[in-house]
Amino acid sequence: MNKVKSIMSWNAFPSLLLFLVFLGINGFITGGLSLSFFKSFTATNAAAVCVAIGVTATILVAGTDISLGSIVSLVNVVIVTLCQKGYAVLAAVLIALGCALLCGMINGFIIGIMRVNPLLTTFATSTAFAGIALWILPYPGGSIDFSFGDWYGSSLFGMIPMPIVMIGILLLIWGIVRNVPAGTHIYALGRDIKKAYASGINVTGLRFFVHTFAGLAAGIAGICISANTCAGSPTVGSSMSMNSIAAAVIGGVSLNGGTGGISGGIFGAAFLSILISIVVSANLSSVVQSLIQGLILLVGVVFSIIAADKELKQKIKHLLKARGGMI
Amino acid sequence: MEKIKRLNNPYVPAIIGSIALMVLGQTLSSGFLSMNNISSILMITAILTMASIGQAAVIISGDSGLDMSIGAIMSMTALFGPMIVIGSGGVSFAFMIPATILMGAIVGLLNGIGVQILKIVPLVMTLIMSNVVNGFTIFITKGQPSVTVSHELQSISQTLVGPLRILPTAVIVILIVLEVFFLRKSRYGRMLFLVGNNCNAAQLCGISSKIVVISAYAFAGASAGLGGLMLVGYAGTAQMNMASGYTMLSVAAVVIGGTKLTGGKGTFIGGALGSLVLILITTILQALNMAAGLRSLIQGIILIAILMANSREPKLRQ
Repeated sequence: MNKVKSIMSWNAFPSLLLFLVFLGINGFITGGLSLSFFKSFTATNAAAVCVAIGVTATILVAGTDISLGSIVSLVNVVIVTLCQKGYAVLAAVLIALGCALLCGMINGFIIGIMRVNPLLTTFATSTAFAGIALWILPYPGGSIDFSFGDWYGSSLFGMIPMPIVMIGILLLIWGIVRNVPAGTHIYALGRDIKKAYASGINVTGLRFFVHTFAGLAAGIAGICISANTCAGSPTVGSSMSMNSIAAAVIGGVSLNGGTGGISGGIFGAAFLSILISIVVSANLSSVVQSLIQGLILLVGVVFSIIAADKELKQKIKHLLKARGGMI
Repeated sequence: MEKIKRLNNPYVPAIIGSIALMVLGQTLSSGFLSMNNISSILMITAILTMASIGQAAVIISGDSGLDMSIGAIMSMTALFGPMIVIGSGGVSFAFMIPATILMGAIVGLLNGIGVQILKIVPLVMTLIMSNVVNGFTIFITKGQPSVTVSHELQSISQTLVGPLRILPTAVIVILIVLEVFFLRKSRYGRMLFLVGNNCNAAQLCGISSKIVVISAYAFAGASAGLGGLMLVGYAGTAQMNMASGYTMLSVAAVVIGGTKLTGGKGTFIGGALGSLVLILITTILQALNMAAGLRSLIQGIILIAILMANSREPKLRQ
C-alpha cells in the first residue's frame, strides 16, 4: 500500500498515466500494439524526448530554454552540409555535436555570468541560431548517406534500439550529476536562489552547466532527427522548443523551479508524441487535427496541475471522507 | 548632477538606440530617412506597439505574467476580421473594430481564467492557448484562407492625416490615451500596479487581485485583436500564422522599453519605443539586402547586446 501511495504522489505520475492511457487508445484505434510500432515510435520521437530532458534540466534551476529547437535545426543542417561536402558521417556528427555544446555554452554564459533573464536570452539566441541554420542551408534539401539511417535503426548488442541508447546517454550523464553534490545544489538553486547563494552554492557555474547540458541534449536530439529523416531542413526543430516546455509541465516539473525530475520531462514528451500519433492515425480530417491536439494538451496540463496540487488533493480527500462517514 | 539623474529614466536606452539606428540606417543606405520609408517604418511600429501594449499590461500584472498567445490572436483576427460583411463597406468596417477587439478579449479572458483559477503558469497556459487558437483558425477557415480585404480596411494604411498616415496617428493617440488615462490615472491602472508589486498586499487592501489579473489578460487579448486587424489592413492579404513572430517581438519591445519582467513596473510608451528600435533593426537589415538567415543572425546578436546592456539582473551579493 505504501508503495502505491509513493507512486501516486510521484511528480511524474500523472504524465505516466496519461501516456499509458493514450498508448492504450492508440492501440485500440490502430488495432493492437506491435513491436514495430514501438520501434518506429521511439525512432521518431527520441528527439522530442531528448529536447524535453534538456529543457527540464533548465527549468529545474528556475530558468527556461526556448532556443533548443533552433539548436536542433542547426545540428541537422550542419550534419547534412558536412556530409554533402564529403566528410565522413561520424566526423560530421561530432562536429555538429560540438556546435550544439558551444550554443549551450553561449546560453550558459549569457544567463549565468551576464545574469540576463533566461527567457529573453534564449529567445535572442534562438533567433541567432535559427539564422545560422537558415544561412547555411536556405532551403530544405540535401541528404545523408543511408548507412546513417540504418545505424539508427539497428540495436546495440542486438538488444537495445539506438534511439533508446541516445536517450540513455543523457540519462547516464544526468544520473552521475544527481549523485554528486551538484545534483542536490541544482534543486536548492531552483527552490530559492538567494538562500542557495548564501549557502555557498556556485550559482553561476550551475547555471552554466545546466544550459550546456541542455545544448548537449539538443545536439543529441538533432542527431536523432537527422538519422531518422536522412535529410536537411533549416526549420526542422522550430516547434520543438515550445512543445518541450509543455511536456515538462505535464510531467510535473514546476516552472518555478526545484520541483519535479527528468522522468517527468520524458513521460510528458512521450505523452505529447503519442497524442500527435493518435490524432494523425484517428483518420480525422486534417482541418480539425491541430484544434483537437491543442484542446487535449490543455486538458492534459490542467489534469497534471490539479494532480500535483496538494491543497486540492486534501480537499478531495476531506470530501471523500465526509461521504464515507455518511455512508 | 540633477540632470543626469533625470536622464536615468527607463526610456533613455530605447531613445538613444533608435536615434543611433536611424543615423546608422541613413549612412548605410541613403534615402533611409526619406518620408516614405519613415512612414512605412512607423506603420509596422504601430502594429507592434498594439501588441506590446497588451504584453506590457500582462507583464505589469506580475507573478511571471507573460502572454505568448498574442501572435496567435493577431493571426486569428487578421483572418476573421475582414470576413465580417454587414451592408456597405463602411458599415462593416465599423463593425470589424469592436468584433476583433471582442474576439481577442474572449481569448484573453480564457487565458486569465486559466492562469488565475486553474493556476497554470502563464507561459504554459498562453502557449497552449496559442496552439488552440491556431487550431481553431485552421478549423474555421478549413486551412484555406480566402480573405478579401475591403477598400475601407486597406485605407487605414493609405489615407494621410497631416504628414503621417492614419494608422500610426491613431495608434499614437490610443497609446497616449491608454498610458495617461488608463495606466496612470485610472483606478484600475493603480490596482494593476499594486497587484503586480505585491499581490498579498493588494489582497489585504481589499482588491480582488484575481479579477484585476484576469482583466489584464483580457485587455492584452483585446489590444492584440485590434493589432491583427491593423496588420491585415496594412498587409492587404491574410495568411495562416502571419503574426506568429509578434509574440516574442512584443516581449522584447516591452523589455527594451524599460519594463522589468518581474512585474509591478512599466509603461506603454516604453513598449512603443522598444517596438521602434526592433522595427528599425529589421528595416536596416532588409535595406542592406542580406540573406534571410544572416539577417536573423544579426538581429539575434543585436538583441543579445541590447539585453546585456539594458536588463542585467543585480548581483546576488546585494
